[in-house]
Amino acid sequence: MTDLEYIAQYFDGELSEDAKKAFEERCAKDEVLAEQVAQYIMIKDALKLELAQHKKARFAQLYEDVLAAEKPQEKQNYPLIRKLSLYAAAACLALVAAWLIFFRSPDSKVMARDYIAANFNNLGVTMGASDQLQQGIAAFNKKDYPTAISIFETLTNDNTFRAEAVKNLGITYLITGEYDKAIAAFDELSKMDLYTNPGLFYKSIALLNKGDKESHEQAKINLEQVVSKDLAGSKEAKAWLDKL
Amino acid sequence: MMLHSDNEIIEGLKRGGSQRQISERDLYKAYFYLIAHGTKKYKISTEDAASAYSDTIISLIHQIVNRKFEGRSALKSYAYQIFSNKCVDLLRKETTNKRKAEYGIPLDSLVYELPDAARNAVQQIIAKDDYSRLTKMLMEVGGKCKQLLLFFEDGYSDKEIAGMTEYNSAEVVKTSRLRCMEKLRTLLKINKR
Repeated sequence: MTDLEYIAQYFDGELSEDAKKAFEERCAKDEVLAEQVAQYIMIKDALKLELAQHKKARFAQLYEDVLAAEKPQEKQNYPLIRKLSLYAAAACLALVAAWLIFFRSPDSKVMARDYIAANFNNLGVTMGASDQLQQGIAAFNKKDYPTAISIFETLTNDNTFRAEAVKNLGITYLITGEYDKAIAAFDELSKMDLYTNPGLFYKSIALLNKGDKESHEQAKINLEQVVSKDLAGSKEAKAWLDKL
Repeated sequence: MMLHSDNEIIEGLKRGGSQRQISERDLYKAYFYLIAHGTKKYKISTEDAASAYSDTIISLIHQIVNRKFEGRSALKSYAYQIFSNKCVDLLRKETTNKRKAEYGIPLDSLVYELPDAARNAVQQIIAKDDYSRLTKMLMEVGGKCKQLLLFFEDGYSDKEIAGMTEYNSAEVVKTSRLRCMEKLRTLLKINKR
């Protein structure tokens, strides 16, 4: 066991009580170990700081998104508009109720589009990702989709970032309406050995958006697999299957 | 805005992988109203309240992922408590800065996990050094190394990292991760002032 492993085991709580005590005593007396511990702590503290900065950058973007989503609701605070809104809402409810009673046939395409609008408006900043991947994400968030596609395509050849690049490429094609390409990308993603893999669920979204009968049936089969295998997106898949 | 239950968020965070990213976002949205509350109650700017709120969510994520949140109180009360403390910290900025300046060590540093005698020895060595040079070294260590170390720091297990980054196994991740730490330590030694 190297010194580094020994130090890591101490801070990860993997040492026995006796070994822990011995470590602490040695650390107080042995200058070499104390220096190594100091270096370890400094590195871990720096990583913690870097991680917090990544998360704060992501939350700053989220802050803007939530504010933007809340703004239209604030306008409804004017009394007259509020009153009119209530009438309009009541009329809408009546229409929706009538529609549900007489024409109940949920549009899966709308359901899938709602999901895209709610979840793929922005891509999150990926921790420690390469500058190139960050550039691709930035291009996507600026709605510069051709640049984003070009960057993500290049990165699909990079083993480290391949999964993230393929996923982002599929999402970009989904947004630009190139459903066949999105399906191919998500299909590739679904075959990767990842801890949680949203590939099959995303592929179903692309298939539902494509809209033809065959794709619709295929989406249903995929969603059933997502539920039965408890893959990423299984909760939404279950809810959708009830409506399809 | 669709809100998720405490349990859904907590389980999502513990589940890891891409689900964790989604749950982090849900958690951020869940108590967003605290920002407005902070500006009114503590008379701080929206910017400061939003920053305190981000710190609150980061702290919550860390505690849930590392199984330190035991669920004795509701997530909402817990979040409120942390957020209030962060706002008070902001108001007492001067005191906080004083402590930081005195030791040059972040308040949540691992050094505080050591008992007194060991901490004194290590603290003296750290006090002679400069944290800011580490930021530069993190850039020098390379993208893959940095990603591995950051994922681990974020509470992902070696097995999860293996899945997310396409390393062959958890063992390969662990070896690579320790090698990256060693690389950083070497850089730290070489660049010692």
